[in-house]
Amino acid sequence: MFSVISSILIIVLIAVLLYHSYKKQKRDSPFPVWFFHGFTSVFRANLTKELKNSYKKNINPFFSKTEQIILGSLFFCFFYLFVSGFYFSLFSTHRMFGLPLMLHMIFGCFFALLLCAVLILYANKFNFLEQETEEKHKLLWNVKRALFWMFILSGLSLVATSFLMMIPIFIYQTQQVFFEIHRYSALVSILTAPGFLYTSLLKNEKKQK
Amino acid sequence: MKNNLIPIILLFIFFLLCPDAFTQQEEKTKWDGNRTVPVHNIWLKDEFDQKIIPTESYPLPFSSRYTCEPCHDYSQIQKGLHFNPFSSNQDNRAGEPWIWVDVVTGTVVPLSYRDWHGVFHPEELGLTYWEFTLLFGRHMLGGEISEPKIEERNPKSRWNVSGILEINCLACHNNSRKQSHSKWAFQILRQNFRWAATASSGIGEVGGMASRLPATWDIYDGPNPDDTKYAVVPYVQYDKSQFNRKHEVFLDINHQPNDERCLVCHSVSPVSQKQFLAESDLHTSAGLKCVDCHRNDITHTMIIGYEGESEYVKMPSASDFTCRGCHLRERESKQKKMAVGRLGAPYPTHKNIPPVHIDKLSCTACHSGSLPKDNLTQVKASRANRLGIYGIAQWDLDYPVIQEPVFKRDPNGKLTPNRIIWPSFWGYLQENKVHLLKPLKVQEAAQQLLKPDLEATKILSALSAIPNLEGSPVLISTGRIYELNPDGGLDASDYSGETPETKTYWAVKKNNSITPLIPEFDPDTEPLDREIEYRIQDTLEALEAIENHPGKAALVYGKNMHQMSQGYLEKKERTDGKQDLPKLCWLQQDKIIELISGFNLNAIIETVGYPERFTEKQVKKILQSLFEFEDTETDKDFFFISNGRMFRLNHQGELEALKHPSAEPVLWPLAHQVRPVQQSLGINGCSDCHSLNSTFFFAEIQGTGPIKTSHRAQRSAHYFMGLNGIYQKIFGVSFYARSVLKVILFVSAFIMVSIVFIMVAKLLGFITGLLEKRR
Repeated sequence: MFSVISSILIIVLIAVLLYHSYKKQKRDSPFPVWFFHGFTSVFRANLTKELKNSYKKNINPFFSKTEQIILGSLFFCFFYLFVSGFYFSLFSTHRMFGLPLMLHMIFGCFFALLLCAVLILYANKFNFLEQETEEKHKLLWNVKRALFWMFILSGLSLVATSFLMMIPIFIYQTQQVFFEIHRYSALVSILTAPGFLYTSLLKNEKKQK
Repeated sequence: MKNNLIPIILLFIFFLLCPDAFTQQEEKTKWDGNRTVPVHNIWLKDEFDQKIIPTESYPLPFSSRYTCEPCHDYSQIQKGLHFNPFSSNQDNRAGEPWIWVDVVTGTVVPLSYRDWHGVFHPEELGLTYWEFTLLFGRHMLGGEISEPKIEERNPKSRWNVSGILEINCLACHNNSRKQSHSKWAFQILRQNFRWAATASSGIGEVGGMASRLPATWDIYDGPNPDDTKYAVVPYVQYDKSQFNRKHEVFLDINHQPNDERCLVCHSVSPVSQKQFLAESDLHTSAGLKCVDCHRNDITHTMIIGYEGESEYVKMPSASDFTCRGCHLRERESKQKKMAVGRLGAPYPTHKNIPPVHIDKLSCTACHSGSLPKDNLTQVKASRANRLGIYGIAQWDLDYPVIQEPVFKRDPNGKLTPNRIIWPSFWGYLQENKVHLLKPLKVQEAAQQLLKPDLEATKILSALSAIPNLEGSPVLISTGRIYELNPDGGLDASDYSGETPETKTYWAVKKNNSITPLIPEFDPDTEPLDREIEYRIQDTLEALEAIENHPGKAALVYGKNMHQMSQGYLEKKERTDGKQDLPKLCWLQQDKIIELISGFNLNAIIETVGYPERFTEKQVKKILQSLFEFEDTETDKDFFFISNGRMFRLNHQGELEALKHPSAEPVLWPLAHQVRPVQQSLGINGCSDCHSLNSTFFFAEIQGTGPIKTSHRAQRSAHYFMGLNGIYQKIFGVSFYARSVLKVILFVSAFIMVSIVFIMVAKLLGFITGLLEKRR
């Protein structure tokens, strides 16, 4: 059930983001042609150069070095946690075990620490008392803020359930419940993280304009 | 229209002729719902379906088939797991094989008619149904291969003399304490197959031995009045007190056999365990019987109780009787998802056990068999080690060496505890194919090489005949005492007395004190002390009484030699040296040779009193003897499989130990004894399994076998699990850091909860107007 739900939601998220990007670029070519062109351009382009450009354009001007390290590490940990967790959920009949599980636990701890740091750094920025000054960015700002807090809360749920599953007081069924909460929280975080990044990029673009 | 009616008419005729063709086969006597067992006051019938009159002269033994058939469908029962060695072949799940053990040749061969990994089909050894029944009938219940149809009988077999071995219904269902498995085993050994059920039931006594009868004898020939001593035809004397005046006998039948009946063949106990300390299975202690879980209908298709069985046997209810079926109330059959736990079995909480364990481990992994230790626990099993047969002779064997627990993946991918044996057998490679040699053939070829203690036992037996010995003769060598045991073999014990100067000497043991057989004396004294003279004389005479003795018995001491000459003790002076202590020897053409050859003495020192039977030198010589015995077949490459290695002679004629697939061990899953939660694996926490030197992953598993050698297979427990040892070590170590991970997670969660709490409080303040929105 989880694999079906998560597969559908991830596909829907990708589709929505792609479609929004397509609409935003206001191209004349139809969506499939645009998509194919974009997809093949990934293989044609000099990826290192593209990444460097993107870094210079979207990250370097807006984040300090400390922030960049924290956010970069968080991204890396989150990426591993996503790949290892969802690989076993979607493509394996077994639960996660062995080396992937061990690394999942280690990266999970780093993720918890980094998420904590992110919350300390940005909680005030994204708090609900803070208002967007420019009226035209208000919707985007609210969406971004909601996604941020959803990511934080799902992350908190992930950390809490991991911790509770390691405490030797819960019976098998309770652990199963924690496990279910853990993976649905992971699903929420994996849906919100790309959304948050996308809205951040949009906002940065608008600011640069 | 006319044509369309023909099939219908044919179908109608078919139904008329075969009314049972489309009805399910059911028991002959249908259960009326009452839970009592009917009183079985019944007529016993013989194999000709005739009633047995116990007062007749020479009544025949009863036949289970014809006695029980009137009410119970024998042909249905024949399909049962216990009577049909070909059944349950489709699930590819190994069970305990039959193990052919021949102590003399060190043969331990796992056999089965089922296609299990690593076991040999009896036909590969040329074993006929007859030979198989004779070997293993002691723990078989009859049926199928033991009651072959006439056309299936091998001409070399003696079924016509012994009779067939019908299913012994009473072996399980007789509630009487008189039911004796030992008597069954004795009758099998005597080839009294058709008499075995009668003898073991306690209804009658059986005399005579079919094994002594000529191969031409037949049941129609009846008794032989000319021979009442040796080749006595088996006969039955029924206990008439058990029959009523209608010649009916009361059979105390138990519909659900008692555990004792099952344990006759299914007992397993650790070798080192004392009887009074042995625990019974947890479920037995809770009041359950074996058959409460291992159930069957009239077909006697037993529920074994492993996960996935219901899919194989096409019986959904089988899943109710697995561990999970009872305790977790899970049903494997996807048709209905319902709570079916039986008898309110306790629901396991599995506190602190991460759910992945339930996916990866069978219930038995933590709850059954012996706990993992540095080395495996050796156990004895009824069928393999011939347990539960009580008589004057000692029936139980130390071989085969069965060990537990070895954890291995079952067909469901779960780690399951297994028992393990390492095969050992003689054979040859021909065109890269392994051929096994029957023990008898090896004995023919190797003869004395297989029995290095024979020389010593012959001498000790002869010395026992010395008058006024006042004790038993013993051989002392390298700090150990070797003496005769009741079975005619040698027993070894430690010698704590003064170490003699000579390596080997003969002595007399009396009340644990050891005195030399020939005490020290002055060899130059003339005449000798009378007692000494008699002792020397008696000893030399005893030695010369040994059949085929290799020379003249003599005693050398100082510069003298004593030997018997025409009934008198003769003393001669030696020119070839001086002997400091009295020494017995053989004289062969004036040449002194040892009483026991160096080769045999070395083999005795190395093997007697130890589990191993052979030295490497012995194996080398036996292999050479096999080559010499089969000199016409030069392309045969003889070998001995033992200790997980293949021992064979290389081009230089030296013994070498190689890896070979046929030397690999055979494993089968275990499920009992079941231990309670407090004694389960993991009760002490994760470190029970996940630690640097955990016995679960890193127990040392060594190849066992009859050779005393340093060449043996050595595996770590994780090898059988198909897991990487280095990874498991790292994973084990990671548990030391687990508390750090917990602290990190807790602190992180605490900080995040605090900040979120502040944010929520602020938000509430904003909503209620207590706080103002910033701009």
